[in-house]
Amino acid sequence: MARRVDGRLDSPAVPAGTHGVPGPATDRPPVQPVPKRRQDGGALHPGAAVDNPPVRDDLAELLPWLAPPVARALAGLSPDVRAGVEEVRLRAGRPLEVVTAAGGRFVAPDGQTVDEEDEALPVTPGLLEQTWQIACEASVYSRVDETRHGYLTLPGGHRVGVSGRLLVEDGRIRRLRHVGGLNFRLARERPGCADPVLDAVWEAAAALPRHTLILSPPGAGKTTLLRDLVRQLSRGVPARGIPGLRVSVVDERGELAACRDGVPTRDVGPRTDVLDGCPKAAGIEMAVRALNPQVVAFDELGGARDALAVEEAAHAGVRVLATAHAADEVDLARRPSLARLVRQGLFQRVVVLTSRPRPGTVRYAGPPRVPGTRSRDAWLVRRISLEGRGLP
Amino acid sequence: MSAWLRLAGAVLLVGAGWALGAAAAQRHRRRPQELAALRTAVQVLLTEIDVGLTPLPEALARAGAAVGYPVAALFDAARGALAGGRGITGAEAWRRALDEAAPLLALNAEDWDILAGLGACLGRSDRQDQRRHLQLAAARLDAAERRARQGWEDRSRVAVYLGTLGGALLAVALL
Repeated sequence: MARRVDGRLDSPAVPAGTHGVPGPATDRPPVQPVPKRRQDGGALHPGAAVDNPPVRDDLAELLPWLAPPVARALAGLSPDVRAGVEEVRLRAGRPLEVVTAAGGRFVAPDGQTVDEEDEALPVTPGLLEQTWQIACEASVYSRVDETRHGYLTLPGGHRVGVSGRLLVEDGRIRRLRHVGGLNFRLARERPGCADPVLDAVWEAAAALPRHTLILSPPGAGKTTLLRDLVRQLSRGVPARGIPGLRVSVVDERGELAACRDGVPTRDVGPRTDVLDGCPKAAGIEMAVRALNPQVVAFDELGGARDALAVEEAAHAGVRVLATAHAADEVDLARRPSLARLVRQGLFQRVVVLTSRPRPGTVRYAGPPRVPGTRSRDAWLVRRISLEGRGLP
Repeated sequence: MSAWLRLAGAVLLVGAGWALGAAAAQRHRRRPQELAALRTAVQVLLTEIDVGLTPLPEALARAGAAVGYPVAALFDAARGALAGGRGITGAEAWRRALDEAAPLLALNAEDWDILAGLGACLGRSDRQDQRRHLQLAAARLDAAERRARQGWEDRSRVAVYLGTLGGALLAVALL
Protein backbone atom coordinates (compact mmCIF):
# COMPACT_ATOMS: atom_id res chain seq x y z
CA MET A 1 0.00 0.00 0.00
CA ALA A 2 1.09 3.52 -0.60
CA ARG A 3 2.88 5.23 2.11
CA ARG A 4 3.36 8.54 0.56
CA VAL A 5 1.52 10.07 -2.30
CA ASP A 6 4.58 11.02 -4.30
CA GLY A 7 5.68 7.43 -4.49
CA ARG A 8 8.30 7.67 -1.80
CA LEU A 9 8.36 5.29 1.03
CA ASP A 10 8.75 6.07 4.65
CA SER A 11 11.61 4.90 6.72
CA PRO A 12 10.53 1.75 8.44
CA ALA A 13 12.36 0.55 11.45
CA VAL A 14 13.93 -2.75 10.57
CA PRO A 15 15.60 -4.83 13.24
CA ALA A 16 19.13 -5.99 12.86
CA GLY A 17 17.83 -9.36 11.83
CA THR A 18 16.77 -7.82 8.56
CA HIS A 19 20.05 -8.67 6.99
CA GLY A 20 20.16 -12.21 8.12
CA VAL A 21 21.92 -11.69 11.40
CA PRO A 22 19.67 -12.84 14.18
CA GLY A 23 20.36 -11.63 17.65
CA PRO A 24 21.60 -13.75 20.50
CA ALA A 25 19.52 -16.75 21.32
CA THR A 26 17.96 -15.33 24.41
CA ASP A 27 17.80 -11.69 23.50
CA ARG A 28 14.81 -9.78 22.43
CA PRO A 29 15.35 -8.81 18.80
CA PRO A 30 16.91 -5.41 18.67
CA VAL A 31 14.68 -2.90 17.00
CA GLN A 32 17.10 -0.53 15.44
CA PRO A 33 16.88 1.04 12.06
CA VAL A 34 19.42 -0.15 9.58
CA PRO A 35 21.72 2.69 8.64
CA LYS A 36 20.67 4.63 5.61
CA ARG A 37 22.46 3.58 2.50
CA ARG A 38 21.77 3.52 -1.13
CA GLN A 39 22.32 0.67 -3.46
CA ASP A 40 20.94 -0.46 -6.71
CA GLY A 41 21.02 2.92 -8.37
CA GLY A 42 18.24 4.40 -6.34
CA ALA A 43 16.91 1.41 -4.51
CA LEU A 44 15.27 2.25 -1.29
CA HIS A 45 16.56 1.08 2.04
CA PRO A 46 15.17 1.67 5.47
CA GLY A 47 15.48 5.26 6.35
CA ALA A 48 16.12 6.36 2.84
CA ALA A 49 13.82 7.87 0.29
CA VAL A 50 14.14 7.60 -3.43
CA ASP A 51 12.30 8.83 -6.45
CA ASN A 52 10.08 6.09 -7.73
CA PRO A 53 8.24 6.09 -11.04
CA PRO A 54 5.08 8.18 -11.13
CA VAL A 55 2.26 6.74 -9.11
CA ARG A 56 -0.67 5.54 -11.18
CA ASP A 57 -4.07 6.93 -10.33
CA ASP A 58 -5.59 3.88 -8.69
CA LEU A 59 -8.79 5.68 -7.72
CA ALA A 60 -9.46 6.54 -11.37
CA GLU A 61 -9.45 2.80 -12.12
CA LEU A 62 -12.13 2.33 -9.53
CA LEU A 63 -14.56 5.05 -10.64
CA PRO A 64 -16.12 3.14 -13.56
CA TRP A 65 -17.16 0.44 -11.12
CA LEU A 66 -19.22 2.73 -8.96
CA ALA A 67 -22.71 4.15 -9.35
CA PRO A 68 -22.49 7.55 -11.08
CA PRO A 69 -23.35 9.68 -8.00
CA VAL A 70 -20.63 7.95 -5.97
CA ALA A 71 -18.15 8.19 -8.84
CA ARG A 72 -18.89 11.90 -9.21
CA ALA A 73 -18.33 12.51 -5.50
CA LEU A 74 -15.03 10.65 -5.52
CA ALA A 75 -13.89 12.37 -8.71
CA GLY A 76 -14.34 15.66 -6.86
CA LEU A 77 -11.94 14.74 -4.04
CA SER A 78 -9.01 17.06 -3.57
CA PRO A 79 -5.73 15.72 -5.03
CA ASP A 80 -4.24 15.19 -1.56
CA VAL A 81 -7.12 13.07 -0.36
CA ARG A 82 -7.48 11.31 -3.68
CA ALA A 83 -3.86 10.18 -3.73
CA GLY A 84 -4.12 8.76 -0.24
CA VAL A 85 -7.39 6.88 -0.54
CA GLU A 86 -7.01 3.28 0.56
CA GLU A 87 -10.62 2.25 0.85
CA VAL A 88 -14.03 3.47 -0.29
CA ARG A 89 -16.85 2.32 1.94
CA LEU A 90 -20.51 2.22 1.03
CA ARG A 91 -22.98 1.18 3.70
CA ALA A 92 -26.71 1.11 3.07
CA GLY A 93 -28.46 4.06 4.64
CA ARG A 94 -25.24 5.65 5.79
CA PRO A 95 -22.83 8.23 4.41
CA LEU A 96 -20.16 7.62 1.79
CA GLU A 97 -16.76 7.24 3.44
CA VAL A 98 -13.18 7.16 2.21
CA VAL A 99 -10.40 5.75 4.33
CA THR A 100 -6.88 7.14 4.12
CA ALA A 101 -3.84 6.58 6.30
CA ALA A 102 -5.13 9.43 8.45
CA GLY A 103 -8.44 7.69 9.05
CA GLY A 104 -11.96 7.73 7.65
CA ARG A 105 -13.71 10.80 6.27
CA PHE A 106 -17.21 11.23 4.91
CA VAL A 107 -17.56 12.57 1.39
CA ALA A 108 -20.10 15.16 0.24
CA PRO A 109 -21.76 14.86 -3.20
CA ASP A 110 -19.32 17.46 -4.57
CA GLY A 111 -16.26 15.62 -3.28
CA GLN A 112 -15.58 17.69 -0.19
CA THR A 113 -14.52 15.63 2.82
CA VAL A 114 -16.76 16.39 5.78
CA ASP A 115 -17.14 15.31 9.37
CA GLU A 116 -20.90 15.63 9.62
CA GLU A 117 -22.94 12.67 8.42
CA ASP A 118 -25.73 14.97 7.26
CA GLU A 119 -23.48 16.75 4.79
CA ALA A 120 -22.17 13.55 3.21
CA LEU A 121 -23.58 11.72 0.22
CA PRO A 122 -26.14 9.24 1.60
CA VAL A 123 -25.71 5.75 0.24
CA THR A 124 -29.28 4.63 -0.37
CA PRO A 125 -30.08 0.93 -0.74
CA GLY A 126 -30.81 1.62 -4.42
CA LEU A 127 -27.43 3.24 -4.91
CA LEU A 128 -25.74 0.36 -3.16
CA GLU A 129 -27.59 -2.21 -5.29
CA GLN A 130 -26.68 -0.29 -8.43
CA THR A 131 -23.03 -0.20 -7.42
CA TRP A 132 -23.12 -3.89 -6.60
CA GLN A 133 -24.46 -4.77 -10.03
CA ILE A 134 -21.91 -2.55 -11.76
CA ALA A 135 -19.06 -4.02 -9.71
CA CYS A 136 -20.24 -7.47 -10.82
CA GLU A 137 -19.96 -6.27 -14.44
CA ALA A 138 -23.75 -6.53 -14.65
CA SER A 139 -23.34 -10.27 -14.16
CA VAL A 140 -24.15 -11.04 -10.53
CA TYR A 141 -24.79 -14.67 -11.46
CA SER A 142 -21.21 -15.11 -12.65
CA ARG A 143 -19.73 -13.80 -9.39
CA VAL A 144 -21.79 -15.82 -6.93
CA ASP A 145 -18.93 -18.16 -6.12
CA GLU A 146 -16.61 -15.27 -5.34
CA THR A 147 -19.19 -13.42 -3.27
CA ARG A 148 -19.76 -16.57 -1.26
CA HIS A 149 -16.27 -15.94 0.08
CA GLY A 150 -17.16 -12.36 0.89
CA TYR A 151 -15.40 -10.47 -1.84
CA LEU A 152 -14.80 -10.12 -5.53
CA THR A 153 -11.87 -8.72 -7.42
CA LEU A 154 -12.10 -5.98 -10.01
CA PRO A 155 -9.79 -5.48 -12.97
CA GLY A 156 -6.65 -3.88 -11.61
CA GLY A 157 -6.69 -6.16 -8.58
CA HIS A 158 -8.93 -3.94 -6.50
CA ARG A 159 -10.90 -5.97 -4.01
CA VAL A 160 -14.55 -5.42 -3.13
CA GLY A 161 -15.52 -6.76 0.26
CA VAL A 162 -19.20 -7.47 0.71
CA SER A 163 -21.43 -7.50 3.77
CA GLY A 164 -25.13 -8.13 4.04
CA ARG A 165 -27.60 -10.90 4.57
CA LEU A 166 -26.42 -14.33 3.59
CA LEU A 167 -28.40 -17.38 2.61
CA VAL A 168 -27.11 -20.37 4.55
CA GLU A 169 -28.09 -23.97 3.85
CA ASP A 170 -26.83 -26.91 5.86
CA GLY A 171 -24.39 -24.64 7.62
CA ARG A 172 -22.79 -23.54 4.35
CA ILE A 173 -23.01 -20.11 2.80
CA ARG A 174 -24.94 -20.50 -0.44
CA ARG A 175 -25.15 -16.95 -1.63
CA LEU A 176 -25.60 -13.34 -0.74
CA ARG A 177 -29.24 -12.43 -0.39
CA HIS A 178 -29.04 -8.70 0.26
CA VAL A 179 -26.07 -6.41 -0.01
CA GLY A 180 -25.68 -4.22 3.06
CA GLY A 181 -22.27 -2.74 2.45
CA LEU A 182 -19.37 -2.67 0.03
CA ASN A 183 -15.75 -1.96 0.81
CA PHE A 184 -13.60 -1.12 -2.19
CA ARG A 185 -9.94 -1.66 -1.31
CA LEU A 186 -7.53 -0.10 -3.75
CA ALA A 187 -4.69 -2.29 -4.94
CA ARG A 188 -1.52 -0.27 -4.98
CA GLU A 189 1.48 -0.80 -7.17
CA ARG A 190 4.58 0.68 -5.63
CA PRO A 191 7.69 -0.26 -7.59
CA GLY A 192 10.65 -0.36 -5.24
CA CYS A 193 8.70 -0.90 -2.04
CA ALA A 194 10.38 -4.28 -1.56
CA ASP A 195 13.86 -2.75 -1.53
CA PRO A 196 14.04 -2.52 2.27
CA VAL A 197 13.55 -6.26 2.65
CA LEU A 198 15.40 -7.52 -0.41
CA ASP A 199 18.68 -8.10 1.41
CA ALA A 200 16.91 -10.04 4.11
CA VAL A 201 15.12 -12.21 1.62
CA TRP A 202 17.96 -12.88 -0.82
CA GLU A 203 20.26 -15.82 -0.15
CA ALA A 204 23.40 -15.06 -2.10
CA ALA A 205 24.98 -18.49 -1.59
CA ALA A 206 22.05 -20.26 -3.19
CA ALA A 207 21.36 -17.45 -5.67
CA LEU A 208 17.72 -17.80 -4.68
CA PRO A 209 15.41 -16.04 -2.28
CA ARG A 210 14.79 -17.64 1.08
CA HIS A 211 11.41 -19.09 1.93
CA THR A 212 9.73 -15.92 3.10
CA LEU A 213 6.45 -15.17 4.80
CA ILE A 214 5.05 -11.66 4.88
CA LEU A 215 2.80 -11.07 7.87
CA SER A 216 0.50 -8.28 8.91
CA PRO A 217 -3.11 -7.57 9.80
CA PRO A 218 -5.36 -6.73 6.84
CA GLY A 219 -4.62 -3.50 5.02
CA ALA A 220 -0.95 -3.15 5.91
CA GLY A 221 0.46 -3.70 2.43
CA LYS A 222 1.32 -7.39 2.22
CA THR A 223 0.09 -7.86 -1.34
CA THR A 224 1.81 -4.70 -2.57
CA LEU A 225 5.10 -5.80 -1.05
CA LEU A 226 4.82 -9.33 -2.40
CA ARG A 227 4.01 -8.04 -5.89
CA ASP A 228 7.12 -5.87 -5.90
CA LEU A 229 9.24 -8.69 -4.54
CA VAL A 230 8.01 -10.90 -7.37
CA ARG A 231 8.66 -8.16 -9.89
CA GLN A 232 12.23 -7.59 -8.72
CA LEU A 233 13.11 -11.28 -8.52
CA SER A 234 11.62 -11.92 -11.94
CA ARG A 235 13.38 -8.99 -13.55
CA GLY A 236 16.59 -9.35 -11.57
CA VAL A 237 18.50 -6.66 -9.73
CA PRO A 238 22.01 -6.57 -11.25
CA ALA A 239 23.26 -4.00 -8.76
CA ARG A 240 22.67 -6.50 -5.98
CA GLY A 241 23.79 -9.49 -7.98
CA ILE A 242 20.29 -10.88 -8.26
CA PRO A 243 19.66 -12.57 -11.59
CA GLY A 244 16.21 -12.79 -13.12
CA LEU A 245 14.39 -15.87 -11.83
CA ARG A 246 11.49 -17.95 -13.08
CA VAL A 247 8.60 -17.08 -10.80
CA SER A 248 5.18 -18.70 -10.72
CA VAL A 249 2.41 -16.71 -9.12
CA VAL A 250 -0.68 -18.53 -7.93
CA ASP A 251 -3.14 -15.66 -7.99
CA GLU A 252 -6.32 -17.13 -6.58
CA ARG A 253 -8.12 -13.83 -6.13
CA GLY A 254 -6.53 -12.00 -9.03
CA GLU A 255 -5.04 -9.32 -6.82
CA LEU A 256 -1.32 -9.90 -7.35
CA ALA A 257 -1.10 -9.78 -11.13
CA ALA A 258 -4.66 -8.55 -11.80
CA CYS A 259 -4.85 -10.53 -15.04
CA ARG A 260 -7.26 -9.56 -17.76
CA ASP A 261 -7.86 -12.44 -20.17
CA GLY A 262 -4.74 -14.11 -18.83
CA VAL A 263 -2.49 -11.08 -19.30
CA PRO A 264 -1.18 -9.39 -16.12
CA THR A 265 -2.20 -5.77 -15.81
CA ARG A 266 0.22 -5.25 -12.92
CA ASP A 267 3.97 -5.43 -13.41
CA VAL A 268 5.01 -8.82 -12.05
CA GLY A 269 8.18 -9.10 -14.11
CA PRO A 270 9.14 -10.63 -17.42
CA ARG A 271 9.84 -14.17 -16.14
CA THR A 272 6.64 -14.59 -14.18
CA ASP A 273 3.95 -17.14 -15.01
CA VAL A 274 0.56 -16.47 -13.47
CA LEU A 275 -2.04 -19.08 -12.60
CA ASP A 276 -4.98 -16.73 -12.45
CA GLY A 277 -8.05 -17.58 -10.40
CA CYS A 278 -6.55 -20.91 -9.42
CA PRO A 279 -7.00 -22.27 -5.89
CA LYS A 280 -3.69 -22.04 -4.08
CA ALA A 281 -3.19 -25.68 -3.21
CA ALA A 282 -3.94 -26.86 -6.74
CA GLY A 283 -2.02 -23.98 -8.30
CA ILE A 284 1.14 -24.63 -6.31
CA GLU A 285 1.07 -28.25 -7.36
CA MET A 286 0.45 -27.36 -11.00
CA ALA A 287 3.21 -24.76 -11.03
CA VAL A 288 5.79 -27.09 -9.51
CA ARG A 289 4.91 -29.87 -11.93
CA ALA A 290 4.47 -27.94 -15.13
CA LEU A 291 6.13 -24.55 -15.01
CA ASN A 292 9.57 -25.39 -13.62
CA PRO A 293 9.66 -22.37 -11.32
CA GLN A 294 12.53 -21.31 -9.11
CA VAL A 295 10.14 -19.33 -6.94
CA VAL A 296 6.45 -19.79 -6.21
CA ALA A 297 4.54 -16.82 -4.81
CA PHE A 298 1.00 -16.52 -3.57
CA ASP A 299 -1.13 -14.32 -1.39
CA GLU A 300 -2.89 -15.10 1.86
CA LEU A 301 -1.81 -18.48 3.04
CA GLY A 302 -4.87 -19.89 4.71
CA GLY A 303 -6.09 -23.37 5.45
CA ALA A 304 -4.49 -26.73 6.02
CA ARG A 305 -4.52 -27.58 2.31
CA ASP A 306 -2.51 -24.45 1.54
CA ALA A 307 -0.04 -25.32 4.28
CA LEU A 308 0.39 -28.80 2.91
CA ALA A 309 0.95 -27.47 -0.61
CA VAL A 310 3.59 -25.07 0.73
CA GLU A 311 5.39 -27.96 2.37
CA GLU A 312 5.29 -29.90 -0.88
CA ALA A 313 6.70 -27.00 -2.86
CA ALA A 314 9.34 -26.09 -0.29
CA HIS A 315 10.64 -29.64 -0.25
CA ALA A 316 10.62 -29.82 -4.03
CA GLY A 317 13.47 -27.35 -4.33
CA VAL A 318 11.26 -24.38 -5.04
CA ARG A 319 11.50 -21.23 -2.94
CA VAL A 320 8.24 -19.99 -1.52
CA LEU A 321 7.11 -16.40 -1.03
CA ALA A 322 3.78 -15.99 0.69
CA THR A 323 1.69 -13.70 2.82
CA ALA A 324 -0.61 -14.45 5.71
CA HIS A 325 -2.88 -12.54 8.02
CA ALA A 326 -1.23 -12.34 11.42
CA ALA A 327 0.17 -9.59 13.58
CA ASP A 328 3.45 -11.51 13.88
CA GLU A 329 4.84 -15.01 14.19
CA VAL A 330 3.21 -15.44 17.59
CA ASP A 331 -0.20 -14.84 16.14
CA LEU A 332 0.61 -17.07 13.21
CA ALA A 333 1.67 -19.90 15.49
CA ARG A 334 -1.76 -19.72 17.07
CA ARG A 335 -3.55 -20.33 13.81
CA PRO A 336 -4.09 -24.07 13.87
CA SER A 337 -3.70 -24.65 10.16
CA LEU A 338 -0.44 -22.72 9.94
CA ALA A 339 1.14 -23.47 13.29
CA ARG A 340 2.92 -26.50 11.91
CA LEU A 341 4.69 -24.45 9.26
CA VAL A 342 6.00 -22.12 11.93
CA ARG A 343 7.12 -24.88 14.23
CA GLN A 344 8.82 -26.72 11.38
CA GLY A 345 10.78 -23.59 10.65
CA LEU A 346 9.93 -23.87 7.02
CA PHE A 347 10.03 -20.14 6.47
CA GLN A 348 13.57 -18.83 6.75
CA ARG A 349 12.56 -15.22 6.72
CA VAL A 350 9.60 -13.34 8.08
CA VAL A 351 8.63 -9.81 7.15
CA VAL A 352 6.22 -8.16 9.54
CA LEU A 353 4.37 -5.12 8.28
CA THR A 354 2.29 -2.63 10.15
CA SER A 355 -0.13 0.03 9.03
CA ARG A 356 1.29 2.48 11.59
CA PRO A 357 2.20 5.17 10.93
CA ARG A 358 1.07 4.18 7.45
CA PRO A 359 0.52 0.98 5.50
CA GLY A 360 3.64 -0.74 4.30
CA THR A 361 5.84 0.12 7.24
CA VAL A 362 8.27 -2.74 7.85
CA ARG A 363 8.31 -3.59 11.52
CA TYR A 364 10.61 -6.53 11.26
CA ALA A 365 12.40 -8.44 8.55
CA GLY A 366 14.58 -11.35 9.46
CA PRO A 367 14.60 -14.91 10.74
CA PRO A 368 11.42 -16.05 12.44
CA ARG A 369 11.27 -15.23 16.11
CA VAL A 370 9.81 -18.12 17.95
CA PRO A 371 7.92 -17.19 21.09
CA GLY A 372 9.39 -18.41 24.31
CA THR A 373 7.63 -20.15 27.10
CA ARG A 374 7.66 -17.30 29.57
CA SER A 375 5.25 -14.86 28.01
CA ARG A 376 4.35 -13.43 24.74
CA ASP A 377 6.46 -10.34 25.43
CA ALA A 378 9.55 -12.26 26.40
CA TRP A 379 10.37 -13.57 23.00
CA LEU A 380 12.94 -16.21 22.61
CA VAL A 381 14.79 -15.43 19.47
CA ARG A 382 16.76 -18.37 18.29
CA ARG A 383 17.93 -19.97 15.16
CA ILE A 384 15.46 -22.35 13.69
CA SER A 385 16.54 -25.82 12.93
CA LEU A 386 16.32 -26.06 9.21
CA GLU A 387 17.17 -29.67 8.91
CA GLY A 388 20.45 -29.22 7.18
CA ARG A 389 19.60 -26.15 5.19
CA GLY A 390 20.77 -23.86 7.90
CA LEU A 391 20.90 -20.13 8.01
CA PRO A 392 23.89 -18.35 6.57
CA MET B 1 -54.27 18.27 -70.84
CA SER B 2 -55.81 18.99 -67.52
CA ALA B 3 -57.56 15.62 -67.64
CA TRP B 4 -54.22 13.91 -68.17
CA LEU B 5 -52.79 15.69 -65.17
CA ARG B 6 -55.76 14.66 -63.05
CA LEU B 7 -55.38 11.10 -64.19
CA ALA B 8 -51.67 11.14 -63.38
CA GLY B 9 -52.44 12.57 -59.92
CA ALA B 10 -55.03 9.89 -59.32
CA VAL B 11 -52.57 7.18 -60.32
CA LEU B 12 -50.00 8.65 -57.96
CA LEU B 13 -52.50 8.71 -55.09
CA VAL B 14 -53.50 5.11 -55.68
CA GLY B 15 -49.82 4.14 -55.93
CA ALA B 16 -49.02 5.94 -52.68
CA GLY B 17 -51.93 4.21 -50.95
CA TRP B 18 -50.70 0.87 -52.21
CA ALA B 19 -47.16 1.63 -50.99
CA LEU B 20 -48.45 2.51 -47.51
CA GLY B 21 -50.49 -0.66 -47.41
CA ALA B 22 -47.52 -2.71 -48.59
CA ALA B 23 -45.32 -1.19 -45.87
CA ALA B 24 -47.91 -2.12 -43.25
CA ALA B 25 -48.10 -5.61 -44.72
CA GLN B 26 -44.34 -5.86 -44.53
CA ARG B 27 -44.46 -5.12 -40.80
CA HIS B 28 -47.08 -7.84 -40.36
CA ARG B 29 -44.80 -10.24 -42.21
CA ARG B 30 -41.65 -9.24 -40.26
CA ARG B 31 -43.12 -9.29 -36.77
CA PRO B 32 -43.40 -13.07 -36.34
CA GLN B 33 -39.97 -13.52 -37.88
CA GLU B 34 -38.46 -11.00 -35.48
CA LEU B 35 -40.28 -12.53 -32.52
CA ALA B 36 -38.88 -15.91 -33.50
CA ALA B 37 -35.39 -14.44 -33.74
CA LEU B 38 -35.83 -12.75 -30.36
CA ARG B 39 -36.88 -16.04 -28.81
CA THR B 40 -33.84 -17.76 -30.27
CA ALA B 41 -31.54 -15.03 -28.98
CA VAL B 42 -33.11 -15.16 -25.51
CA GLN B 43 -32.63 -18.92 -25.43
CA VAL B 44 -28.96 -18.51 -26.37
CA LEU B 45 -28.67 -15.89 -23.63
CA LEU B 46 -30.28 -18.31 -21.20
CA THR B 47 -27.79 -21.03 -22.10
CA GLU B 48 -24.83 -18.70 -21.80
CA ILE B 49 -25.94 -17.43 -18.41
CA ASP B 50 -27.29 -20.64 -16.94
CA VAL B 51 -24.77 -23.14 -18.26
CA GLY B 52 -21.68 -21.12 -19.07
CA LEU B 53 -22.00 -18.41 -16.41
CA THR B 54 -20.77 -16.15 -19.18
CA PRO B 55 -20.47 -12.48 -18.20
CA LEU B 56 -23.38 -10.49 -19.56
CA PRO B 57 -21.53 -8.46 -22.24
CA GLU B 58 -20.12 -11.62 -23.78
CA ALA B 59 -23.41 -13.48 -23.40
CA LEU B 60 -25.23 -10.65 -25.20
CA ALA B 61 -22.66 -10.73 -27.99
CA ARG B 62 -23.17 -14.45 -28.48
CA ALA B 63 -26.95 -14.10 -28.40
CA GLY B 64 -26.71 -11.38 -31.05
CA ALA B 65 -24.42 -13.51 -33.19
CA ALA B 66 -26.98 -16.32 -33.19
CA VAL B 67 -29.58 -14.25 -35.04
CA GLY B 68 -29.65 -11.88 -37.98
CA TYR B 69 -30.30 -8.18 -38.42
CA PRO B 70 -32.23 -6.32 -37.02
CA VAL B 71 -32.67 -8.37 -33.82
CA ALA B 72 -28.89 -8.77 -33.60
CA ALA B 73 -28.63 -4.97 -33.47
CA LEU B 74 -30.63 -4.93 -30.22
CA PHE B 75 -28.25 -7.34 -28.48
CA ASP B 76 -25.18 -5.66 -29.94
CA ALA B 77 -26.42 -2.29 -28.70
CA ALA B 78 -26.86 -3.68 -25.18
CA ARG B 79 -23.41 -5.24 -25.27
CA GLY B 80 -21.94 -2.00 -26.54
CA ALA B 81 -23.61 -0.02 -23.77
CA LEU B 82 -22.12 -2.32 -21.13
CA ALA B 83 -18.68 -2.48 -22.68
CA GLY B 84 -18.34 1.17 -23.54
CA GLY B 85 -20.17 2.98 -20.83
CA ARG B 86 -19.11 1.35 -17.61
CA GLY B 87 -21.02 2.55 -14.62
CA ILE B 88 -24.35 1.19 -15.84
CA THR B 89 -26.32 -1.88 -14.88
CA GLY B 90 -27.62 -4.58 -17.18
CA ALA B 91 -31.12 -3.11 -16.96
CA GLU B 92 -29.90 0.34 -17.96
CA ALA B 93 -27.88 -1.05 -20.87
CA TRP B 94 -30.92 -3.00 -22.08
CA ARG B 95 -33.15 0.07 -21.83
CA ARG B 96 -30.71 2.07 -23.91
CA ALA B 97 -30.52 -0.74 -26.44
CA LEU B 98 -34.34 -0.86 -26.74
CA ASP B 99 -34.41 2.89 -27.42
CA GLU B 100 -31.70 2.48 -30.03
CA ALA B 101 -33.22 -0.55 -31.77
CA ALA B 102 -36.88 0.53 -31.63
CA PRO B 103 -36.96 2.11 -35.13
CA LEU B 104 -35.45 -1.04 -36.62
CA LEU B 105 -37.95 -3.57 -35.30
CA ALA B 106 -41.53 -4.29 -36.40
CA LEU B 107 -42.85 -5.05 -32.92
CA ASN B 108 -46.02 -3.91 -31.23
CA ALA B 109 -46.62 -2.61 -27.71
CA GLU B 110 -47.17 -6.07 -26.28
CA ASP B 111 -43.79 -7.21 -27.58
CA TRP B 112 -42.02 -4.17 -26.17
CA ASP B 113 -43.56 -4.93 -22.77
CA ILE B 114 -42.06 -8.42 -22.87
CA LEU B 115 -38.64 -7.03 -23.75
CA ALA B 116 -38.86 -4.33 -21.08
CA GLY B 117 -39.73 -6.96 -18.48
CA LEU B 118 -36.75 -9.05 -19.55
CA GLY B 119 -34.37 -6.13 -19.13
CA ALA B 120 -35.47 -5.33 -15.60
CA CYS B 121 -33.85 -8.50 -14.25
CA LEU B 122 -30.90 -8.81 -16.60
CA GLY B 123 -27.72 -9.72 -14.76
CA ARG B 124 -28.93 -8.62 -11.34
CA SER B 125 -29.43 -11.94 -9.59
CA ASP B 126 -28.09 -15.46 -9.31
CA ARG B 127 -28.24 -18.11 -11.99
CA GLN B 128 -31.48 -19.74 -10.90
CA ASP B 129 -33.30 -16.44 -10.82
CA GLN B 130 -31.91 -15.44 -14.21
CA ARG B 131 -33.02 -18.77 -15.61
CA ARG B 132 -36.58 -18.25 -14.40
CA HIS B 133 -36.82 -14.76 -15.87
CA LEU B 134 -35.30 -15.72 -19.20
CA GLN B 135 -37.47 -18.82 -19.53
CA LEU B 136 -40.53 -16.69 -18.82
CA ALA B 137 -39.47 -14.13 -21.43
CA ALA B 138 -38.83 -16.88 -23.99
CA ALA B 139 -42.26 -18.40 -23.31
CA ARG B 140 -43.98 -15.02 -23.67
CA LEU B 141 -42.13 -14.34 -26.91
CA ASP B 142 -43.13 -17.76 -28.17
CA ALA B 143 -46.80 -17.10 -27.39
CA ALA B 144 -46.62 -13.68 -29.04
CA GLU B 145 -45.02 -15.21 -32.11
CA ARG B 146 -47.74 -17.85 -32.39
CA ARG B 147 -50.43 -15.18 -32.18
CA ALA B 148 -48.59 -13.07 -34.72
CA ARG B 149 -48.36 -15.97 -37.17
CA GLN B 150 -52.08 -16.68 -37.01
CA GLY B 151 -53.66 -14.93 -40.00
CA TRP B 152 -50.67 -12.71 -40.74
CA GLU B 153 -51.16 -13.38 -44.47
CA ASP B 154 -54.77 -12.20 -44.32
CA ARG B 155 -53.76 -9.14 -42.35
CA SER B 156 -51.02 -8.35 -44.84
CA ARG B 157 -53.41 -8.70 -47.77
CA VAL B 158 -56.00 -6.52 -46.04
CA ALA B 159 -53.37 -3.87 -45.34
CA VAL B 160 -52.45 -3.74 -49.05
CA TYR B 161 -56.10 -3.60 -50.10
CA LEU B 162 -56.94 -0.92 -47.60
CA GLY B 163 -53.97 1.18 -48.63
CA THR B 164 -54.81 0.88 -52.32
CA LEU B 165 -58.50 1.50 -51.78
CA GLY B 166 -57.78 4.44 -49.51
CA GLY B 167 -55.61 5.97 -52.23
CA ALA B 168 -58.34 5.33 -54.82
CA LEU B 169 -61.02 6.88 -52.63
CA LEU B 170 -58.89 9.95 -52.08
CA ALA B 171 -58.28 10.20 -55.81
CA VAL B 172 -62.04 9.98 -56.56
CA ALA B 173 -62.79 12.57 -53.92
CA LEU B 174 -60.28 14.98 -55.37
CA LEU B 175 -61.23 14.43 -59.01
